[in-house]
Amino acid sequence: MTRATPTPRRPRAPASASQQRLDPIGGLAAWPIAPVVALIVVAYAVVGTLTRPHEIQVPALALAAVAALTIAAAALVWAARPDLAPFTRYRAIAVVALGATAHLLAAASTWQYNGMIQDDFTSIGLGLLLLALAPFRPWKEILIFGASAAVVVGVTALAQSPYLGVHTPPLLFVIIAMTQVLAPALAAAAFSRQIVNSIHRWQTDARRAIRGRTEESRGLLAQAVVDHRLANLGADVLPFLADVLERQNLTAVDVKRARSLAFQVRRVLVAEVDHTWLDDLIDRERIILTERGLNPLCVIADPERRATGFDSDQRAAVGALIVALCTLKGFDPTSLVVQIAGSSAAPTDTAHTTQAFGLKGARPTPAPDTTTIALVTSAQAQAEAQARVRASAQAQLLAATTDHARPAGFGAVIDTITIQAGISLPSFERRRALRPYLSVLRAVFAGVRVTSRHPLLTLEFDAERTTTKGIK
Amino acid sequence: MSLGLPGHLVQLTLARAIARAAHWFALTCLMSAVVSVAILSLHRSPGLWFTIFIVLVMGGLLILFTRHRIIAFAVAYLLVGTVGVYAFTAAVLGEPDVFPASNMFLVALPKMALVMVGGAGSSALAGVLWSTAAFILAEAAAFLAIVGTTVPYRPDLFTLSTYLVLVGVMVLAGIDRRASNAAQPAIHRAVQDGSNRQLRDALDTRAIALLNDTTVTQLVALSLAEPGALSPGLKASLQYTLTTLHDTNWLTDTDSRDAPAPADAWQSSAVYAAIERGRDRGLVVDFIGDRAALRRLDAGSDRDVGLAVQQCLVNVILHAGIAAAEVTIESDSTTLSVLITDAGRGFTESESASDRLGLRQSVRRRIEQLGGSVLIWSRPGAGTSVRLTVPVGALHQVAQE
Repeated sequence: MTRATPTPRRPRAPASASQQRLDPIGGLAAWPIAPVVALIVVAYAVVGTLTRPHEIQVPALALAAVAALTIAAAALVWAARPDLAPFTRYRAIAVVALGATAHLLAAASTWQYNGMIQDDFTSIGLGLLLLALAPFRPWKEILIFGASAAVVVGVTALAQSPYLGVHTPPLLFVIIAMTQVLAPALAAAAFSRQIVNSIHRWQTDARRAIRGRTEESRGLLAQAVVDHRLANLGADVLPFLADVLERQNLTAVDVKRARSLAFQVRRVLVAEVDHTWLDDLIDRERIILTERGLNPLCVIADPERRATGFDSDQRAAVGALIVALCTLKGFDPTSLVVQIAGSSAAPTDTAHTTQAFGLKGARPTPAPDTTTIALVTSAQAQAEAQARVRASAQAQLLAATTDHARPAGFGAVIDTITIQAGISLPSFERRRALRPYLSVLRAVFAGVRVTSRHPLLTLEFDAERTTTKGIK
Repeated sequence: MSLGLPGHLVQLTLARAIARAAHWFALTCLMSAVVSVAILSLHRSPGLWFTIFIVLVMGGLLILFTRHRIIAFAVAYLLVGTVGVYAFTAAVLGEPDVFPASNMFLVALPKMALVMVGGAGSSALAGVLWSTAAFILAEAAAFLAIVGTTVPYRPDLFTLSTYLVLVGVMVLAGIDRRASNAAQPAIHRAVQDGSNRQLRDALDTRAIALLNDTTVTQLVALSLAEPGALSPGLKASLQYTLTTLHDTNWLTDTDSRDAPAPADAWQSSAVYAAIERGRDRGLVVDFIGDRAALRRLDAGSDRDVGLAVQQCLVNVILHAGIAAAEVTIESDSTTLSVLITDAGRGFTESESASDRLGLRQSVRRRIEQLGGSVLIWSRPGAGTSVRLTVPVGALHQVAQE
């Protein structure tokens, strides 16, 4: 029986994804929901307390309930703040727990004197707090929070039912109380699930399109690389080799020339090998700034090539930010400094272990000097290149030895990236222009810190390597 | 992930998500309403079954509307819902001596569910209009029902606030993020740039390695040769270099191996070619191990492993100060390892600077691009050993060939 090849299923969005995580800029746009909801919750709590003085038996508890709900609302606003993104699970737990505490305190303050369940401001407040989690937390989590909160309000309602002013079956009170929490919680969960799936679908398609576009340009890129390489080889190397082959004979001049050319080509190639995507990016910005008639001075300090350890999302986020900085009005073209430092081993090469190596039957041969190749043409140039290369090799060795106690692949390796730029713009304008880029940065890096001493802006953030980036 | 929604998809996506949220809110309210009326009818008046039925029909229409988003369903939901609100309000408030006033949360349940129809509007304005229509119809139906009971009328703040919150959310979503519009394309461009750069880097890595293997190696060989007639080995390798760089598309050609007969697998492998080239240059290479295992490499991997082995042998020629090396091939179910060993002078890491390009680019990066790894053991005076390990196809696949 033959069957058509099944169409590949669209990969599902990770269960732990939220709108803020997947689409930081969209999350940024959704953030006002937090202060608006917080305002409604607090206002309703105050009004709800003031209009029911006859029900309140313990004013201190009623006050504590309003205070707890206010703190919960404040915690929501704080946790949702774009500059403190992402909204973590612990923050959400804190908000919901504070809301539930407020509910218990309010129930205690009106114990045996509560007239009606439906005007308990805390259950509606709790529902609204859950509603505000929609852009920030994954849907399953909101569902669990909603169910837990519903159980709390349901049980409190059941406990209060004998003393209520309305005489209906107790289960009815439970349903009313739970609906006030569950309806907004389910709405929030549904919103989160739907939007995460939509964003994930778009991202999958967009990535496929990007891969397609890249593949289309493979021929052009390969040609560009070949042209660039052959140009770097210089007009001399290939004709020289062809000439020697044609003559079938080697002169002393040829030998000397071969040495000189080998040294030159090797030097160019070594320099190219040390190039990272960050160098490319800054080179391009430098060209663009020069084309704009400016005199750019952009510094990259990444001696251990840590930039190579970044994943594609991190590269895109940093790339977009640097491009945005360079195109910002008031950007000082001589001020950009990008630095990457870290305490652990650099990511570039596989472990290179230098250790005793016993070889059966192998007799170490003393090294005769004649076999050492000396590609010396210009002593100074060589010393320069060697010093650079040695410094880098020593840095790697140092890094390898300092990290000796910890085998590679275990534990988190943290690189700290620092970007500095002078931007003479009023700080609110600068903040507004960079806010979307920072929100993206916060989604892919940890500990994003922004400090500003006008006009100098300093951004610092940490990249974690080797461990899989989990969504907290 | 940083690739957010582009501007043209934002409105639509948000509208869908709000619609989904509104429908779940409405369904929760309707479920509560049904359960509440069921409880009431069990405890007090068994005549409430019609109310249960009509609320269930509302729920059914809501689900249909959620699934199909046809205006007819929305209109039907609105009309049935209005009747439902009337029946529900009359039935619940008709209970003698239970509810003190009309503004009960229980009574508001179907009204709030009805207002939620607006969440499915195609635009913010349409949503607000639908919601407003639903709000007016629901309040009117409830008012008529309340007038028919003995319960005094009080304005229902629950439905009103739900209506206002929904309208607020729709309006907020409608005037979404004008300021961030420029950033999203910039991020998208950065991702595309990154992807291009990655491909370019991969090609560049291969290009540098190939140039190092060919041109630099050739120049070094010439610089070490004695003046006079070219040796046959040197002539052959010069020829090879020039042909490679001139006559072929050296970067993109994958040197595809035509599936070799098992007997020739060894002779046609690039590792064999590399060893032969080393022997041409006067190196004594001993070969040990499982030759047939090389068949498990695909064409691209075979070429790259071959070039890496060649570079290791070139390093032996240039730096080891010895004219002999040993190549060992080992394999297990998922990997193939090639060990190149010499008993030469060895080196320490800090001394390896001049040799860095060859080891890093031609050996290490190349193998890493295949998903493999490189381990180097060396000590001054105690020789050098380089182990290249690459992943290969499972054994049974080769057996089938």
